[in-house]
Amino acid sequence: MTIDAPRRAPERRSSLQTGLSAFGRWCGRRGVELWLPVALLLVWFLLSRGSTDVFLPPLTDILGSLREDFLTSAVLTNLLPSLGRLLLGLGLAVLLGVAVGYVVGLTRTARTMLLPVLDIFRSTPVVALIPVFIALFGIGSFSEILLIAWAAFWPILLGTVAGVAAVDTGFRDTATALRMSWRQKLVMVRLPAAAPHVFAGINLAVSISVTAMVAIELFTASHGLGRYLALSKIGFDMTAAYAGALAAGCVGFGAAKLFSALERNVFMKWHHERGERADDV
Amino acid sequence: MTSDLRHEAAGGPLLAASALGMSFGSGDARREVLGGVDLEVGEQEFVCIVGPSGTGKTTLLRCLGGLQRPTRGAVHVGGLPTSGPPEGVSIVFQDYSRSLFPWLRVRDNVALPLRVAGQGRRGRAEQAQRALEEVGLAGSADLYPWQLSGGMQQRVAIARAIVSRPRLLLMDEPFASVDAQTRFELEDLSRRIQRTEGVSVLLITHDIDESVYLSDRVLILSGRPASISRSIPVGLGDDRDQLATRADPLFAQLRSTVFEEIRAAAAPSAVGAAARDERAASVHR
Repeated sequence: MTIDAPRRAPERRSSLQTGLSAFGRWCGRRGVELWLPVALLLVWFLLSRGSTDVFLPPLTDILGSLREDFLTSAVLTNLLPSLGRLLLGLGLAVLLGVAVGYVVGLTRTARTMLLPVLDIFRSTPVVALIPVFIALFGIGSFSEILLIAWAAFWPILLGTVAGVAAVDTGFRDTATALRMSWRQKLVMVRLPAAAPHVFAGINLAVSISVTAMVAIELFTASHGLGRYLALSKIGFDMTAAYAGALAAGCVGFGAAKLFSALERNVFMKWHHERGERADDV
Repeated sequence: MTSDLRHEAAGGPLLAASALGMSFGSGDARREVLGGVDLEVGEQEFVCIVGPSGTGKTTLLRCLGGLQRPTRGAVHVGGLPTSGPPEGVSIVFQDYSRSLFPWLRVRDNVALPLRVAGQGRRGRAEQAQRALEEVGLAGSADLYPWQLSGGMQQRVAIARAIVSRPRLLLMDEPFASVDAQTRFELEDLSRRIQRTEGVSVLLITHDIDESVYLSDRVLILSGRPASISRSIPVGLGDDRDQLATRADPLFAQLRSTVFEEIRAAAAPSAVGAAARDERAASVHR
């Protein structure tokens, strides 16, 4: 026996239609996120239009400088050297932070002994250390890489310590029951189990290291984005100062977004999908 | 490596614990959990340890599996004294979500014991696939464990336990966190695997019916500190069926025997304790 439910002809939608409606939803979401930034830019544009005030150059002029100095081959001197050092410094911080954090995270004694010291170093503003770093390591890429690494090291270290210390006892029992050597436990269990914490630390470190980068370059005016900003100050070129600030903002924002996108979709894909699943239930 | 063990074990029991004692803390806070546990598990035998919650069942299994060093006594596997997790022994934990690694796909979780043993990639994949087929999950190899239901995750854990062809499975309340229907399926799966793989199983449970249905022999763990108070052979034959076996008069009789024993242990009068000691001495293997 069948019960005849009122049936409607199945709605047939072309792939174009579904594509369009998906695009519509995407625009809706982005619209909610973007209306304020767009409005602010609009206000800035309207307020500064035709301005002759040296302190408030027209937005169009600023964007012109931005394009000329950062979207042409000038980017080779104004920005790329900075980015290279940023990557090196961050990489160094990841290596050292994970290695030291792993050892410290393993034992409670090491954690209680070292965490107060770590807190002090972590809380010292990185800008305050620039003179010391320059005195010790000179002006140039070496001191800049070290300063970026220093700034990025602490959040990564703390993330790793927390992650390694928090490895579930169930995972540890399983590792022991599978007769893993300590090296196998490190590679197969402790590091992957700690990885979500480590990546949270790296996420923080990315923003902090951009600050460190701009700060030391500005101080020494040796190269890159900081030199561009320093020169604009010396030449009293407000348009360039605004353009440089915008460029620095874009670098910070872009680096953070890029890294968290990589984390979500590549490195820690399992963690985020699992989290979303847990939220659904 | 397992064949060596098999050779040496000729004759003796596969697993033997003698005068196993375990206490925690020190001074006034010292708490004795296990007070001289003696037990044996033979080749291809299915043994259940049953006892009320908080008796020390899990502590006992952790000592047998080498996850904890007992304060006294010894554990022998295949006639050899053990320190640490012995070769040829796999453990299935109660909480699969804290035992399967969420960053590994099902296939890689199952193949992990082989990876630890240093086996090559191709052989690992083949053996993992075979173990997954054995537990009925051949199609889920590429998923992550957290994408599966609880019962399926415990199947993955069982597949991982048998992938290295062990001789003994230690199972700690393996079906306590799944629903009743899944529980029956997993019980039958465990019995089937015990026979097809030719392994011995020592399974811990607080469920009396489960202990009788599954095992060739039920051990009662009771007392404070706990010891094995009785060993009850289960003569229900090799072929068991969730409906027929549970309707068997012998099944009812056995579950009453186990139940009485646990109740007697829970309300220990001086007389009862003495009687139990006598009985324990008389049935002691």
